[in-house]
Amino acid sequence: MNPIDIAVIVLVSVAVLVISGYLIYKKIKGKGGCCGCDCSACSGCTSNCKHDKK
Amino acid sequence: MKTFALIGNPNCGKTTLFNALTGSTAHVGNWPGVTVDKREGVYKDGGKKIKIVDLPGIYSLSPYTPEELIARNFILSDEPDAIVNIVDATNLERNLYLTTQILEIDIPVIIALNMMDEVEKSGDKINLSKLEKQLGVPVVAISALKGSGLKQLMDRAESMQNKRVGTTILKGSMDEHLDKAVDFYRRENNSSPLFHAVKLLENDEIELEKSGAAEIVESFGNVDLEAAIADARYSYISENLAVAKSKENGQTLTKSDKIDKVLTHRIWAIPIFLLVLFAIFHLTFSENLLFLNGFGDSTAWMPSLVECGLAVEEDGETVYNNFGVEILAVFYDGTVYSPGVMLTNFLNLFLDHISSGVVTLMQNAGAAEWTVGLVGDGILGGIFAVLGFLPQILVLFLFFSILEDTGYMARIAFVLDRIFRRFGLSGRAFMPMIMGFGCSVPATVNTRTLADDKERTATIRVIPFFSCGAKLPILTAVAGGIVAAFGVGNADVITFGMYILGIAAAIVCVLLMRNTSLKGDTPPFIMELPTYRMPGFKNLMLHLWDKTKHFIKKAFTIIFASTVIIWLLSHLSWNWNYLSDEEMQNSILASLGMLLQPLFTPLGFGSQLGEFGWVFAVAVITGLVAKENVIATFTTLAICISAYAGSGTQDGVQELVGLIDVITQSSQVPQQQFIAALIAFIAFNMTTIPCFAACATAKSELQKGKFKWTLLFWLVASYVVGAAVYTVGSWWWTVFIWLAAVVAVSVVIVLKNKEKKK
Repeated sequence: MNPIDIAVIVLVSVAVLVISGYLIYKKIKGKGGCCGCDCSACSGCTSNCKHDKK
Repeated sequence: MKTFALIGNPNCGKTTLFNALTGSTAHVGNWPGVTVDKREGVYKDGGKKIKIVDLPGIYSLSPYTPEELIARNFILSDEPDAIVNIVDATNLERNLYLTTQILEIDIPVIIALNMMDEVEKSGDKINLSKLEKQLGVPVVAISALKGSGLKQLMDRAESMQNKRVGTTILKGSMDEHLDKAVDFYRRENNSSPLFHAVKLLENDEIELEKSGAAEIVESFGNVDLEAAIADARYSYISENLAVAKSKENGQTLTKSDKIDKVLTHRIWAIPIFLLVLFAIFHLTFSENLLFLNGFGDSTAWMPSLVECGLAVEEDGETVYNNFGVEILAVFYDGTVYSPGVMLTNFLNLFLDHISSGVVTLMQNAGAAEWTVGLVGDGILGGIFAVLGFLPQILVLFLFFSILEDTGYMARIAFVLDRIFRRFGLSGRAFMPMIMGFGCSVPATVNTRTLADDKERTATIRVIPFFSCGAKLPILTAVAGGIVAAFGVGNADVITFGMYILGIAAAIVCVLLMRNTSLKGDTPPFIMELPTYRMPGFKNLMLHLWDKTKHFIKKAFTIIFASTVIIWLLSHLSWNWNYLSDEEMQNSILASLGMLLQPLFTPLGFGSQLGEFGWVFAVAVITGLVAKENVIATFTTLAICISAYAGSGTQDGVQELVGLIDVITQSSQVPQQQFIAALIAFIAFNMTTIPCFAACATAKSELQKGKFKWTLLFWLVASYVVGAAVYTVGSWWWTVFIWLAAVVAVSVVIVLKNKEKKK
């Protein structure tokens, strides 16, 4: 197999694993803010916000 | 670390002050109700640090809406070290109503008299020492926007004593009742007994829930103390506090009033709004700026670059003579492009060169066909297709931010109240809806400003119909695809039409819900119209930066992962053997897509699209993760499909056109039906279940048990809207069948409601 092919497989696999891990970690730890959209423009998504659960 | 809470009326500049003190970039807008949750930051001055808490704006400490409750609960339960009461100096009398209530709490208070620069500009004066003497707490003049007076405010706030006993302006007739209530709270060891006592006199629901409180109120007899207290507060303000302000010019009509005479005109307000909206869409999406090239092919007069001899057509692709002409094509090619299209063309030119450069490099290095395909068609194709739309998204939001910051959006809420009311919503619901054009997540959170639960549920359900930034690539690409592939219509008109369709679908659904499952009175709409202001450059750029950051982050995380998975699934068989582009029809993804394909037949993009129609089914499903995925999926798959059929252009956003060509050739679907199906595809995606993040927010904001019905509502609504668009677009006479169905449903609802009334 060409070294380029091996490099692409390794890089893409690592990137997908890192991204998946990051998204799962964010969800579990609630780092993406309470609603998970991670959009800082929205006041509901600051790291300190807590939803008033009904 | 000390904690200071920022509290004040809506739109008095709390978040602007919060940003100025803490260096944050929280969203600010020139309309009441932008902040619906508390947020924290740290003010640093030398070695000292103070925690600043920004609270949602409130008119009084008797809460009616969820976000007002957040502000009251924080002040009373968390007991900050000091309250910074922000008072809009241009509207002193109304703002001081809240101040008279805050003073009743046993917490040190300082008044930040904001927008003093505007007061001075208008020629008015405020006697600070007089106001300070009357209120009995420090008063500091500031301008949060310009950053003046902030250091003095924080220094004086920090030097205040740690303890303060609440005071009230209520004297005389209600002294006896007040003393009785204060004694009750003192016996209960409540902090701020005076505040709670006054609230009890006002028949505050939260106070009445405390054991023994109802008996105290009963002992007062049948007197309306709530109205008497409100009256006493306003009388005191006008007699003692408002006199601190002296008017120098006797002008009765302000500049804002004069502008409002036109923009909020009874008849012209809505046509003006529609015109403004169309102008925004035209400047963002039009490929025929200001219709300089006429209104259709028959009136077009501008020559294309090929006609000028600057480019040639080769295999359906335009090849430019040199790089200079390629740059020229960013701005003009047989027509002048709008600023949004110019910026998009420019970015795509850049992205295309990167993409082809990477592919060439890999091919020269001897990489295998599948590796080149994964990187070129899969990863770069998918990500760049989505990124290519960023300029148009930014241009559109720049315009929306300008409308928001000038104060025009708040006027539209006021103007639309008259119409909304007929459908069972108040004009207040317009603000979260308009926020939905940006992102459904903050829009859903913003519905906390709606006091009525049923109105709130109805609003949350229709927010996804207001096409968000992530759906914009679907609209632009598919509309552009229709124009380029079939040579009909204008991309900006189709896009504008789809936005209007979303609004119309929202109105019909609200009408239906408010007359059936979510029946109830429409609450009165009272909204303070903010003064017209020039939008601040920094604030506009912050809005855009937030959008860009969010979009790029999403492109390199969710979209990247999705495109890799889509490419792999479309190039692997169930036996895990690699399949070339030509064999893609045997892939895992194709077989799953074909399984779902018939579901979309009534909407036009199902079985009738033949062997490649499954791409649409797959795009709909991947769009549930993030709406940008729809176009990323199309691009990744279309490159392979069109290359297979030998008609692909491999040229950025043109992939969709290639896919349309392939499907037209393979399925023989009539042009009119295909166009209708493509528009139905946009309509379905606009109204169906939003992305995961928006669903999670809706679930947390809706009352328990309502989310599953909301999911069902989105599915049914999108299916009906899609089917209606497809059938009417394909066979015009079906409009009568749909009208008959609407009439039948309306009659059933009216009859049922009449029956219930009896």
